Amino acid sequence: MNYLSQAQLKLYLDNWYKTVQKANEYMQTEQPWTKLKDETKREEGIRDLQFLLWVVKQLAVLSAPILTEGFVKMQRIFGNEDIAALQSSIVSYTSRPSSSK
Amino acid sequence: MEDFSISREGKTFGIPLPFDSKSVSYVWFDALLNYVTVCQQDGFWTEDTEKVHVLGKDISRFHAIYWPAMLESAGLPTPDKEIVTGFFTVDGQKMSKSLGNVVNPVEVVEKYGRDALVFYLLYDIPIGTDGDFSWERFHNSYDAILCNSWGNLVNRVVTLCKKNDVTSGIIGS
Repeated sequence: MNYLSQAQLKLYLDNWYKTVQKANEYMQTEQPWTKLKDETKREEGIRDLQFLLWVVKQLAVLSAPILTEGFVKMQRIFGNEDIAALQSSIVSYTSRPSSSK
Repeated sequence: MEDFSISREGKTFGIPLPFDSKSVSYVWFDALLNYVTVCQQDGFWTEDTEKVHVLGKDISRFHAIYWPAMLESAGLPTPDKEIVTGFFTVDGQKMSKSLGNVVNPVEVVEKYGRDALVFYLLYDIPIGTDGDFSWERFHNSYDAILCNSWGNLVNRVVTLCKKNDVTSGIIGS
């Protein structure tokens, strides 16, 4: 978050993207969809998914200052309607023509 | 720093000065004051709020020298940070109507969405220096990063979670 406060946005997004890549690598390595088909590994597959879901939620929060529209969509997918509505109101506030503020 | 004049004599268009009927206010003097008059209405310009200006390098003199001087003379809090952006070229060339290479941000947003444009500009063009807008790199960041990498990750995880009734994420496994 230090990058954000120092307006080092490229470095901030570089690190965000590296984490996205790591999450994709984890998914590809662990292949939870394969484990879920095997009763002996199903529990492990569920744990992988829980971990990946946690990572995706964190990445979504970290993307919020930049990917504002995507963040709102994701919060709706996660059922966080209140957060989506709040972010949506912030986006529409900052998008208003200055004369109407 | 030397004093600077806040009036312009003999101009017909401008804000009249109450102490000099022949002059109007220097445009940068009344324009900069908008930051305070507008932000104060919404409670954003106080000692407690962080005041950050994002501006182009061609107007940094007015924001980084004149503006703090004006605020200090009025006893008002000065900005905490000035983020100064550079100029753009497009694919290595100066942006111009005659070259037909002007990037219209409204059209880009309509076609690709706001997130795609904001992400590209912040990811590819460092703040503080001049930058080059490249359509090739724009499409690369849109396709490779936002769609194939981030979008695909979200899509796969959410689909699998829904299918398997995984609703809450946990740390570590």
